Amino acid sequence: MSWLNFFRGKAEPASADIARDRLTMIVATGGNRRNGDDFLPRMQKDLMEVVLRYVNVDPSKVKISTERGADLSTLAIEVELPPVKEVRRAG
Amino acid sequence: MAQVVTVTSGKGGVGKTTSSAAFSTGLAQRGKKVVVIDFDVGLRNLDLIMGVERRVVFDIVNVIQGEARLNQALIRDKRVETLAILPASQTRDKDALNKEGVAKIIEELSKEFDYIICDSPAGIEKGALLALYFADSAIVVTNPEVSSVRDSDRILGVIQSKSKRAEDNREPVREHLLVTRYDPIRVAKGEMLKLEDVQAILAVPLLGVIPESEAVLKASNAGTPVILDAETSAAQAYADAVSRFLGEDKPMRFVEAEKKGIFGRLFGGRAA
Repeated sequence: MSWLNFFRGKAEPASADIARDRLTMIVATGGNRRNGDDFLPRMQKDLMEVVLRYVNVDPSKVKISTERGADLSTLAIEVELPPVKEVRRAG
Repeated sequence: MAQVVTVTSGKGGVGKTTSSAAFSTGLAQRGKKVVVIDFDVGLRNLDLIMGVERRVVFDIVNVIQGEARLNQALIRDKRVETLAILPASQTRDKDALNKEGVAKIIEELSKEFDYIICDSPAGIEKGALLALYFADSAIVVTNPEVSSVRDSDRILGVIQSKSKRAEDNREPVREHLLVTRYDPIRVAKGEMLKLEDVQAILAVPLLGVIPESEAVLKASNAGTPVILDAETSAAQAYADAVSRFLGEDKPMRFVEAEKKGIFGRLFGGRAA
């Protein structure tokens, strides 16, 4: 079929490119190399301290999560603030 | 103080021992005092690749267990004067090695040698961890193939978290990428990962590219480090890698497919 493709001017994707894309997916998301050293708990602790330094909230109302996807990975910090009056008092 | 260089890869069969033998010999050819240690206890092979298998009397385990002195276990190379080999044990298992024992050996070797090359076993278990624990530099041997690249990425993570330098919070282990069994013709056809892609994925400075070469098998058949077969592309590529390791600037060779003439294209044929 390959000589036919030559005339059609259309080629199948090179297998080397498939290999590159698969590896990029594995390696770029960081799950491979950093398996042994999970930084999330430490980062969570540090972020929590920063949030508490500025806002007086119940630590259980701070949620930190990460999600890894094929195209997009996210780090979400969700802080549930107390009613306005209480925030002022804290400041 | 000697520099400890660990040759590692995660995956087996990618050319760690071939590279350890060639690289050590190349450094010694430059007048450096080099000792190469086989860390693959139970499955030693460095002695065979170096062609000294009949001269092994004592090994690293004998030294650690106090059954022999280091100097009795060291095999001095007959081709390159400043090169020595410390073989692994064939009969013990990996548990025969321990951190304290290896530390003592490295300390003692440091007195005589400039470079201590550690030929790591495959995997990320005890033997491999010990081989990389004392490293100042690491040469990560990678084939342009998915499982090898992934395992190299994995071992890079291990180097940066489990080495003594990482534990002591010192300057991290210097990493080098050595791509072996590279076939520019297959790369041109889109059948093999490109050098640039491997490098981009692993993000480690490139020390060298060793082309796929029939000379490697021939050299191992004969027990001659391939770098001594100076006419071959593999030997020249290893010599270049040694130069770069010593800080010289060398352009990469053997990475482009040679343009075949009309006859070459018609009648095929393989690169030497």
